[in-house]
Amino acid sequence: MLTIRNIGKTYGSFTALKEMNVQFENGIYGLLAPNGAGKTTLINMLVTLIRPTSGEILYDGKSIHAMGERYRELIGYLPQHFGYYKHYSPRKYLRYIAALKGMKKSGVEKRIDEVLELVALSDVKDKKMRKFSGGMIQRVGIAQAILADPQILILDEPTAGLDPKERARFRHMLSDLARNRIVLISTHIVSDIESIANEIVMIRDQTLLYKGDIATICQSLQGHIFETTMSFDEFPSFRKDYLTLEEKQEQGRMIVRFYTEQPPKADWSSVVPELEDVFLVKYASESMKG
Amino acid sequence: MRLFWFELKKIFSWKLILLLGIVNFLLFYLLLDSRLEYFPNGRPAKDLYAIEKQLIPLYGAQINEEEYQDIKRLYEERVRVADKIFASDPEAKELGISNYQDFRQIELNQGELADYSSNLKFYEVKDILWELQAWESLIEGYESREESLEGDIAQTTGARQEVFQRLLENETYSFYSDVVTMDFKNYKTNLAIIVWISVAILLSLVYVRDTRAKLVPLQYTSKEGRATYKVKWWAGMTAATVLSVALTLFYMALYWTNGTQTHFGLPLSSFGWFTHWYDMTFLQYIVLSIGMIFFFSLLLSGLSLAISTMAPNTIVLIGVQIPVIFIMIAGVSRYLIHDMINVFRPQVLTPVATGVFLIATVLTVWLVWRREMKRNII
Amino acid sequence: MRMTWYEMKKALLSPIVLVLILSCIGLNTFQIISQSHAKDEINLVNELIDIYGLTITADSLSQLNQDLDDEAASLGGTDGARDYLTNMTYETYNELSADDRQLVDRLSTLSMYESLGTSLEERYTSVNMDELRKDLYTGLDKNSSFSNYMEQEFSEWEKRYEEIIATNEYKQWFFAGDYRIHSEMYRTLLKNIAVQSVLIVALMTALIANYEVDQRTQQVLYPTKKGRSLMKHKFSASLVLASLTFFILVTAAFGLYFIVYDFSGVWNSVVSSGLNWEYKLPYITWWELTIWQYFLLAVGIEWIVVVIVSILTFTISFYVKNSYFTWIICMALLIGLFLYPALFNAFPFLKFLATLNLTLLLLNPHMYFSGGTTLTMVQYFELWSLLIWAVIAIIVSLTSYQRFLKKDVS
Repeated sequence: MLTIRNIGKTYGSFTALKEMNVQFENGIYGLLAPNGAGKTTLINMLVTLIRPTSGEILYDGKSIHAMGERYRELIGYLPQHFGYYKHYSPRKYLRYIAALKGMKKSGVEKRIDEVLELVALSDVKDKKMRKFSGGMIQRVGIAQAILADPQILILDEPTAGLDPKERARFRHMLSDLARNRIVLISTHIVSDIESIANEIVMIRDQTLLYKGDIATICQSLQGHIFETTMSFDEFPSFRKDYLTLEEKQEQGRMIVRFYTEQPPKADWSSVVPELEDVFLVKYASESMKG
Repeated sequence: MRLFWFELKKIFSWKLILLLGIVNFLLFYLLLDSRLEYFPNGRPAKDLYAIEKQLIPLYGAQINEEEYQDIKRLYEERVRVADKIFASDPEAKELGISNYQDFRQIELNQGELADYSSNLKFYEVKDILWELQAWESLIEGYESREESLEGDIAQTTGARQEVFQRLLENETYSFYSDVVTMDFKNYKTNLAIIVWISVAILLSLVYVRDTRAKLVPLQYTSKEGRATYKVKWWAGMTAATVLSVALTLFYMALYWTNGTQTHFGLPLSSFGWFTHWYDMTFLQYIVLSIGMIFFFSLLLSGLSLAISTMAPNTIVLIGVQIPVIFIMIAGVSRYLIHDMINVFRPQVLTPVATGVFLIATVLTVWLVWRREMKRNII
Repeated sequence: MRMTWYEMKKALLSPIVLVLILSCIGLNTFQIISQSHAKDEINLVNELIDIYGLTITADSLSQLNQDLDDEAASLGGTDGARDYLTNMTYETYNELSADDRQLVDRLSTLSMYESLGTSLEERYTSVNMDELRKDLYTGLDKNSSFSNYMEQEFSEWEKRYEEIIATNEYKQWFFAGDYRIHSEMYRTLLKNIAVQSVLIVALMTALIANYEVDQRTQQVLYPTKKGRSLMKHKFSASLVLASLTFFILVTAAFGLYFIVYDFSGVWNSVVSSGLNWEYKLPYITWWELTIWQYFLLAVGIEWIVVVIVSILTFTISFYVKNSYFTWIICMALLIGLFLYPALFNAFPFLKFLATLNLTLLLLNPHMYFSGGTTLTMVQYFELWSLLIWAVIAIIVSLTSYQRFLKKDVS
């Protein structure tokens, strides 16, 4: 169990994160936040790249900084822009990563074959990565993150660059992995989270906004999300009054999905809230501020 | 340990090895080749060296009166050879030269001999003239051995004077020339420059390489974590050691071919011109010199690794290395390697400067190291 | 122009470049100051020129002689200046008042010039050209067409030497050769500046040329309207910066140099002056060059050398997309140029061609335009070297640029 207790991070007068409390148990968590909310800061603290200026992070009750190597041994991490040597092959690269992760040499080759199989790179395992496509590189990144069978898997934008087929494979792989470990995924792609994560963690204003399952948070918007149809001319003034979430064109008219606290009107039809709605509604004030 | 090998292999990438090969090839021809090909360089250096090779096995470092007479006899034999040449030369006769003694007299008095001795016809004479000049300089040195030390004592004070005084008291006179020792001093200085430049080229990329490849976050979050920094550091130092030893061995093996081994067993005090703070055999001096070169090679390695950690890109890296290498070449190699224990440098210069260099390096490395252990990686 | 300026800023904003330039200025300043202990004595030649004119004539010499004797007399020397100075012992010198000591110093310096001037003709005309001609043949195959060429060059030079004597060109005052002013100016200062410039310029050029690779911005920049022609701006930015660096260093160093040493009187003297005789030979230049002409030409040549080095570095950058390797390879290339004439020791003509090279030009500004017996002292050596290397640099850079325009960027 990973416990984040009251942590904060400041750089001089700039606050990147404050009074954050959250706990992770086995399962897949989707980390959802607009840019600049403190998502990367949180991840960097979880993987020990930066230290909190206040509070602490505990794994099974022990401070992760005190645990040091015993903690890092448990984590697998895919940074948003992950580094690799262009002139290395995936196999050579993973051998190096295995050494960094302190894996036993005897099992390494077999494990490398396994993970490359998992990310469907077996065919190119001895080709130099210089010529790889973005998706292939991203899969190498995923491979290195899961290489040492980590207890805590932290993936920053893991689906970036993956095509739909690869994305499906990735989701499948993750649900397999998540049975007995903590998986934390940060992404902007809400649909990814919807289909993979058991729970979501939302950060706003440098602190935790919400942690819980997707159904519950969607539930909280029940009765506030509507769809309605209108002509193009009406739309601009409508948009001023309501928080619109989605616009579609159909047969010369507009179908608008929107959020409101007001009681429903006759030509509005109530719809089931989705995670995407939650995201847009919860961060609406933020985008308006900006 | 496994990670260590990985890091070591990264340091010795084939591109860098190729580049080091080219750089060494060029620097060898620039700095060392002529010291091998043209040793001993010029005259009477060549003649002195030949005579010394002949005398050292016979008489060793210190020459007593009896040995001196022997040496004079050897010299006179050569004079007789010269005499014969002059005697049988008609042009010499014209100039009134019938033997070597005459030649010397006229040479002292007249300028017209310049034409004569530079005349190509007398090339064979020239050889022996140079040789005799070399003999004479050794003999004159022996004759004036006490006066020259007394002169040194008169001109110096303090500890420096004591060195000369001790030499005089113990009757430790320098009979031989400094052809061989001077050549070695120049050779080792250039050797040091080549080794240091090579080490700096090899190690400058150690950390920049991974910073540029954005690999640091992965490394620092792995089980090894920030210890990766230390592993790389040790790999860097090992690589520097391997390279320094390999290059030093290679260039010293080339030096060996100069054939100065006859001189190895003699104390430094038996070679003229420069006096040293401490006396030791030439071979010990060679070993000490190599030790110093190696020591500074390690210090420079530590510095290069620190620079590699701090430099955000390769431009800054080179920009910082330029003055560092300049100091190594213009300062360290000249004062602390070439003139290592030379008596005309202050006695404390080498130990103090080396100590300061050591402390500064250790401090830099320690600070950089400590910073790296705590640094926020963003 | 604006693009070029943007590209220049990439290097200018790198503090390391500024630090390096400042360090070099510091080093050169130290070099000048540490050598300047005799500057008052050295500057005295201007006074001499003021009074007796730039040309050394029998009249002016005898006038000088007379004046010196008078001065000696006023100091109490009855038998002329030379006697007075010869009889001056350390003890009597120390007994003099500080003012008198200054006068004696002055007298002795002027008297040195007087004796140099008097013996000048004898000394200058005694250069043994036949003896020098012999040096010409070391390593040369006599009767080969190349040795004929060298022979002809030598004869030309000998003619020039005779012309200098015939026209009394050498009879002009300059700082006495013992002060080694020419060597200090060119062999030390200008050469150091040129070498420093090369170190910095190669660095800046590598920085500018590889900037987009290093910053991973190629994919953003090359598809823009300017696109790959951005390289042209980078190229001109490198050349402007190379020139700027060189002239900043030159201005800083020589600005100080001409403050320390007074050249006001000698600018119009000639490099071939018989007083400008430092080592074995005086500087027997191929043309009559005044001090200022030579100075401007030497600075100009070094400037072009630095610019060519910048072009070559730029070209290397097209192939080696890593500024670290680019810089080291560039330095290796320059060292290689210095060494490679020796490869052709057995083939004098090839050796001669190899000698027409950038590094030799870079390192020997004190020998520019001087004749002699070595391969680098033929007439137009500087011009040919510059031309050959400018052409090489332009051809390789253009081909590389063409190649770059078509190359895949990844």
